[in-house]
Amino acid sequence: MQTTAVGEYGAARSRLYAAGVSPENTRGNSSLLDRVRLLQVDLADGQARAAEVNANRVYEVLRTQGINADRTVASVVFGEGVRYWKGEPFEQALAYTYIAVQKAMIGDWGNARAAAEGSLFLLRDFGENERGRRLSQQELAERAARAGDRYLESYEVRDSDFALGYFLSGVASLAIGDQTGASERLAEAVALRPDLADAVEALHRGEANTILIVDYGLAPTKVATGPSGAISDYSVNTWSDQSAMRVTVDGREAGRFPIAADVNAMAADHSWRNLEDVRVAKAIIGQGLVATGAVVAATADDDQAQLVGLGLILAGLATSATASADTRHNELLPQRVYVAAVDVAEPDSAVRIEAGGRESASMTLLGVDPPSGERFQLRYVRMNAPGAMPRWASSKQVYYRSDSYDGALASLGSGASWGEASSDAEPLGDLPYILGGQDVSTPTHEALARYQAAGYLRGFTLSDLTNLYREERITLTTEEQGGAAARHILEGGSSLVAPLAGTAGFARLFQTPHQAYRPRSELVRRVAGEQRAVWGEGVGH
Amino acid sequence: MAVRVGLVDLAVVVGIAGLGVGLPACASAPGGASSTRLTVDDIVEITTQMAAKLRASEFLGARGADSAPMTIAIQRVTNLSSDVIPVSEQWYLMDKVRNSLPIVELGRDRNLAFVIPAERLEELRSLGFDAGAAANRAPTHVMDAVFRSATRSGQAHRTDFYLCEYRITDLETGALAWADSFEIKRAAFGRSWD
Repeated sequence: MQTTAVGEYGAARSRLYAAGVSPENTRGNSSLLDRVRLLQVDLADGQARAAEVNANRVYEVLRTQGINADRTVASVVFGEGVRYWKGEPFEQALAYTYIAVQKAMIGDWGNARAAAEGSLFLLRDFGENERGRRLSQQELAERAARAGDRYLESYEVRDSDFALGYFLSGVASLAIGDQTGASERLAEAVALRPDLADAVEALHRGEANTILIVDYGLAPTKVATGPSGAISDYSVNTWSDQSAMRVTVDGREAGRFPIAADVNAMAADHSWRNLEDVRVAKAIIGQGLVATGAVVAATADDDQAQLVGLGLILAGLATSATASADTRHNELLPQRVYVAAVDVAEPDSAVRIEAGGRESASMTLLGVDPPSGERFQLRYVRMNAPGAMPRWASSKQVYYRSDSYDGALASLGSGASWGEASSDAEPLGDLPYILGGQDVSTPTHEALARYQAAGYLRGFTLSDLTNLYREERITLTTEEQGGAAARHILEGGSSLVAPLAGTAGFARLFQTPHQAYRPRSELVRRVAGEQRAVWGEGVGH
Repeated sequence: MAVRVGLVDLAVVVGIAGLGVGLPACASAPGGASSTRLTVDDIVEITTQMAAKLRASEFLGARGADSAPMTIAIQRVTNLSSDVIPVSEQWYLMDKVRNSLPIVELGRDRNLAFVIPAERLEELRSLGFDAGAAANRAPTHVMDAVFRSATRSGQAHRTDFYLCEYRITDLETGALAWADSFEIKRAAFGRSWD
């Protein structure tokens, strides 16, 4: 949680892996919760393609009915911990949203639409209390205890009010050419959040080609309250407000964009909550059971009746003692989600985001190109916690060439990483990082041609170049990493898979200098030494 | 119309190793849970019906084993349903059609070959797979499919109606040679969010 809050997504992912979290690990009643967290971390780190397998697994479970169907009685007697965590309805809606974001980030707009549609399930509405306020979980439990089980079936069904889901579905529909579906969904989004109108209008007019989904703040914490702690409630971490998000593209004002989802509000609304804690609270007739048992036992004339009475007392005590609300929750959720629709017209653009009210946070995303071959592109950005803004978040330089970025580079300020102080140091973007340069691209014919044009790796074939990475046991593709993301070599890991430009993952890896690479193999050490000699001859700079 | 009450097959079929799995099941959910997502059985039923319809169609009705070869490249499914069908599964759904016994028999009886398209071939080769379906290429037709769905859900149930449309187009003329649709209804019970 803490590592995620300060943008250390590589470390956060490593901790999740160390705890056994993976798309394949379905053991344990909290496995879905862990996998949703992993999905969020990977998306924040710009590793959308690597998140595909996990996103699909999460979707499978979300689409499953009746997971806890045979556990309702057990949860009353033994407490909520035996239940398979599937999340409150609002957590599920946001999980569908992250799946939609993952699909959109890899250009799979048809599936992005389907996932966004999954977030728009019907809601239960029990209405308001006498003071005109939405009924709380506690009030529902009290009414159910008075009126009986039928009360919990006496709700009205209403359409979802999840504006973010309607917006994403509408954008995805536009992307696949379903104008009718897009118009319907985007109109519903605007009806719920009128301040989305400008962004929607820009989309319809073709004046926006880049969608930003920006998470800000910390979601509320789930706590146990009420009788025997059976009711769950949410304690606010980041307070809600209506402050807009400001976006500039290459220094040009791109607009101020609204909040599309307020997680505090969702968590506080019974329509976005499940009723299991209400059922448990109602079922805590521990006081009633104990009272009833005591009466039976005290007044019984025969042994059998006395045993019945004692049984009732024990059942009541057991229920009361163990039926505490399940407080498992997704603490990686944001307090709010902003959406923006901007136009990126030039390659290698800089997008700056300022979000939040009194405790605002900002981030500069470099290397953003216009979408290639698609009408839209989507970028998901997780803003760091206010006050926890690392240098890379405001960096205006890119230091490393990669598969995601082929633009101008900043020098590391020395002769590559060889400690040769030079006031005129040129960036070494035409030399692999593992050999002392600033290129973390995967080995390709184009990359090798670039290196050789700069005077390095003379006589090398692509096979020779690839073997250098193999000697260092560096993975080049997501498939080699078992379909998952892995720690990048710039942060001491062994992966060369680059995050998408325009994400926090790209910023934290490529918009800040890192320590020089330390070869593991004799071969790479030797070749690096040879390239250093080439550099010393003045070639390449 | 086939009706399935969704006890989903827990045996997940791996379509092509490394590219994703076959149709998902409740492999990751405790027993007793169900889903309305399409399953392998649904596709098997579709291919059985499809083969019968193709066999009797005007498009293939007059062909025999000695007819001039016809090569049909199969594209992946276009997903317009409300269900996420990952790209790897979109290919798998069509591979399942291509490799099904009724379609294989139809191919033998009417001198048809169903092949994977060139871009899919390249993708498989780049991943190191031996795509034997490269032999005897030069497609004369292309088959594609569009999946749509409608959903009804209530407190403790969900029903999805899938409409799976398949088309075969003559590559030389661009004319639609054959088209048909198949309906699948899947129902699942139990709460979604408890």
